[in-house]
Amino acid sequence: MHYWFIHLARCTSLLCVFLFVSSSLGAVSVKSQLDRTSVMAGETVTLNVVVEGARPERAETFPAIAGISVQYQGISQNITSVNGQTSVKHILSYAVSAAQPGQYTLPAITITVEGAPYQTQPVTLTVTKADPSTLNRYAFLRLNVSREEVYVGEIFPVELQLYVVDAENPQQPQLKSDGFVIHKRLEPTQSQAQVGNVMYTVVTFKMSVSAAKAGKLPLGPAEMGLTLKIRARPDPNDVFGVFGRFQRRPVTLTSTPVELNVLPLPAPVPPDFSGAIGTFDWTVNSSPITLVVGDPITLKIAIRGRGNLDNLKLPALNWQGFKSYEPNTTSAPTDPLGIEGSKSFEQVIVPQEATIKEIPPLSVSYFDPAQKAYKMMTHPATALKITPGLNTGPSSSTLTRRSETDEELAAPNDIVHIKSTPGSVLALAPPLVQQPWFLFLQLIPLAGVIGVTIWRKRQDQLANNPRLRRKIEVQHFVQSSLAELRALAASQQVDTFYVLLFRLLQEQLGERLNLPASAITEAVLEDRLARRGGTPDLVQRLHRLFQICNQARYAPMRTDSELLLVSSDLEKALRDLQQLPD
Amino acid sequence: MLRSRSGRQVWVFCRILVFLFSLLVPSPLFSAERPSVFEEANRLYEQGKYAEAASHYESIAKAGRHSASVFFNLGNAYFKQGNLGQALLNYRRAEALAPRDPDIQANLRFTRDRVSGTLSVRRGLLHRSLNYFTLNELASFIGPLFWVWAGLFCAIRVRPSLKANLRIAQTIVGAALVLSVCFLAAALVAKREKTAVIISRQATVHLGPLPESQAAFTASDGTELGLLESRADWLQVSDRSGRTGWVSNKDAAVF
Repeated sequence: MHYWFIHLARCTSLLCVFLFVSSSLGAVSVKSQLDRTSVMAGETVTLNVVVEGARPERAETFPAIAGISVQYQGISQNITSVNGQTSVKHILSYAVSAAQPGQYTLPAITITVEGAPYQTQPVTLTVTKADPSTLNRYAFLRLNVSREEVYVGEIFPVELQLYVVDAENPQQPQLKSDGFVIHKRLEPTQSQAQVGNVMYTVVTFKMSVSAAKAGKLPLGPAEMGLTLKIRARPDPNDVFGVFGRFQRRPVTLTSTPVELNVLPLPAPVPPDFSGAIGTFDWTVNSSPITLVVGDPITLKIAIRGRGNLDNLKLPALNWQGFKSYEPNTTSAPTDPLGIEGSKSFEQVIVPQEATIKEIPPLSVSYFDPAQKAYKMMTHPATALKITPGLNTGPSSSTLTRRSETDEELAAPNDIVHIKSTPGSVLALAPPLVQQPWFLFLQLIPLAGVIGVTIWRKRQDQLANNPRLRRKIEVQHFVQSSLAELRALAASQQVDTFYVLLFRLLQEQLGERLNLPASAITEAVLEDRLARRGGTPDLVQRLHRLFQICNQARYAPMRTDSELLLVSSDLEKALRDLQQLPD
Repeated sequence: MLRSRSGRQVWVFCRILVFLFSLLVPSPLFSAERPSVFEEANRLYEQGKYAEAASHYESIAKAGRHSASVFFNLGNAYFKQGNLGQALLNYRRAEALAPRDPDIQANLRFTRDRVSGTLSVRRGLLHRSLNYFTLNELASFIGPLFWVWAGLFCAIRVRPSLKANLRIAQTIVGAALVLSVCFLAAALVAKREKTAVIISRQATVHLGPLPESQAAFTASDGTELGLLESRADWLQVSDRSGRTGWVSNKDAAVF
């Protein structure tokens, strides 16, 4: 039972792998790649021809190339599955070595896959002179630049190679690049290489670089720190050889700098040159070419080639009679460093007049470093057939009288004419809301609102508090009556004087003691006033004033000085009464 | 007797109000100023001497007396010379003074349609609504309204018996006042959003405020870019898609 279960599981797994593999077989692609593009003379490099999609049936052998040896090493298979998508790669490996320095091109070969022939791409290998100082060294760093002469702004690839027998803790290499701009760095790749009698692990760091100024500029040196693992001499006492087999030595490797001759771009520079340097070709497609005024035409421009694609730009299309929009731009580099590939522009232009017969010729300039000259890609004029549409509207003078809807449908042919009168002329001044006098003017009603609110509140407070109202009324009465009292004293109107004096005493005491004024007699002074905090002296003075009033009924004859004295006593007594607590 | 006295006081108060706020409205007395230069400029324009006409209109504007007609005609003179940016700039100045003038709106639309590229920032409906009135028009409306509201408030507080009659009027005036003040505040905020109008044939917008800085994009004559920051010689701008950069103030005018 157990055996059958395992057998069934194996069959299922094999079926799954088969289904995955068969499902992945689709379009066939063939491409060739070198594990390093720059090597020293005598060094071996691996060329891989990767066939994806099906197993290659037959491969053409490389033709004999002078100075270079290409040897087939075998075929391997690589199955990868990412997110359920399985891909199978068959890799044909070749060992390539050159005895002499130079630049070699491995030509395209034909690979037969499922009966159909497929061509590989030619690849270029740069072989530099062997450096004797590197012979039999445990580790060294090389800076490979395929060019000796470049132009300012031209992008070129640079490789930094670490040759090491065994090491650990490698650090990121630092390239001294004053006067150069490093655009893109790729993840390092690893391969094996034999130099002399030593087998090295080669770590390659690729980057794209351009020069920022002209002159003879050194690129490098590059520096890289790592810890070498050097096999130590065996210890005779170590029977099993497990202790001290390696010595660890931290070192900083330095490469030899490379001097580059950086040339300035020649003059005169074409007016539409945007800084593109390289070799380019383009295709231009316009559609539609039969249309109505106001319909958009899409210009599809695809530029392919090798160079700084980022600097490729279309000139501004300020064509008479056309309205143009900013083009949509997409870049599709075909190599990881972004030096080779294509850039596409989608430019929309809208003809505004039915009299237009063609799209004007297009041109884009670039500098070709191989030809050492500016080149121009040109596209001839494209004939158009434009018929008038709804957009050809009446004159502007009638337009201004139309409704908004009509204005949207019909466009005027010219601007509205100038105005014949200057209209209202304003002095150059900040707006009213920022002028102090205007803001001050608004403070007047604000002050009125605040004042009236306070007054209203006071009125309401008085209306709801009879004692307070009475207090204020008595204060007013006392204030006005005291002056009248003095006048009566001066005119010796004795009867009226004492009547008023008695009333003043009644009103003030009544307000203080919260009693009706008519209920105030001398008798209330003793107990009530004392309880309200009246001092004995005040009580005594008030008694005296009451007694003077009583005596005046029987002996009213008094001199004006006596009356004034009494008036003064009354004034003091009233003031003291007013100061009693509520 | 008492009624006739208070009626006379109200009449005097209203006359003072009318006098004070008549000062706020642009006076037609000014309209007669500089007619000769203006007419001379118009004559040059009619003769097709657009550059000379433009310099005459400029001289009126530089004299410190602004009018929508002067800026409108100046915009026309620049448009006829092919300077879309300068034309647009002056149409917008005219629009700020007379926002509901159909001629100004028509020429603004016409000029904008002729500006190539799609970089220009476009203002939304809210922004256009806030610019439907000038700040002075709003202030001239809000000022008297505040006085009227304050008068009603005081009348009701002094004579509570009037409350039944005036309460609805006070509520309506108060609501109108609050709305107007909110509108004015929003309009003030909207006015702070400045625009940089490209006035050269082709302006390069750099990534930094230096001539050596890498170009971010180029903008053609008449492109209206949003202004983010202004320095001595450089303006930080943004286009419709949100790209930002620095343009020399020789290539752009701020409005």
